[in-house]
Amino acid sequence: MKNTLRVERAILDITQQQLADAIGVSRNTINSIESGKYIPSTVLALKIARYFGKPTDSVFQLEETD
Amino acid sequence: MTHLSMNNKSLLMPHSCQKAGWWLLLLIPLSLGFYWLLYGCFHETRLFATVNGNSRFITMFCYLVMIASFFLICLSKEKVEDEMISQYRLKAIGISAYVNFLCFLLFWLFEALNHGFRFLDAEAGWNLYNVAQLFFVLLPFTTAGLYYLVFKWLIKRSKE
Repeated sequence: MKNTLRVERAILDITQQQLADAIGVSRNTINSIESGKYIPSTVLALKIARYFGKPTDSVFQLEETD
Repeated sequence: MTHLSMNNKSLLMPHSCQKAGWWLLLLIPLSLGFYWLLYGCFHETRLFATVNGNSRFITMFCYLVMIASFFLICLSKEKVEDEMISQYRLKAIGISAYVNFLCFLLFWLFEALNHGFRFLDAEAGWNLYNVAQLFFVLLPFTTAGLYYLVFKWLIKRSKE
């Protein structure tokens, strides 16, 4: 699963730490999601999308291999 | 309509318990150092009974402290305990379970091949009490110790 977290963050001009604090996870988790090392749960994906004010599937998209 | 929800209540202790566990673990080198200063070595003691040159009291004390520390360190929350950390915990438990099973299997296969397929053969020096003792001495290392090492390694790897 790919995501546009880095882009959304750049639009709002916030750091990984700021996003992590707002969502209630660690900075390491945000970094792992951005780099595709960790796939978030549905709850976390919904929380992130809600924070950016976007639909979940515009922030997270399935890939061919999923 | 009844509403069913999953209970996400964590069984882990607060993060402060982890710090307490590390401080407790520090008691081991401190008490060993104190013992060394008091008696000059670990093989003889004037206060406690000795068996085959081993001072039993200090060993037992350190071992109990170690188990209590492992308990606090392994079962406490991280500073930020989120779902990724929970997943790493699960993965670490899985890996340590695999290693434990493989160790059991290899150990008993080795025993079987070397001493024949006779379980706890007395002629080979085995008895159930010795096996149980060995098992319980090693258990904190093969379960809690290994779990924590794998857990920390997974976190470290995720940061690279």
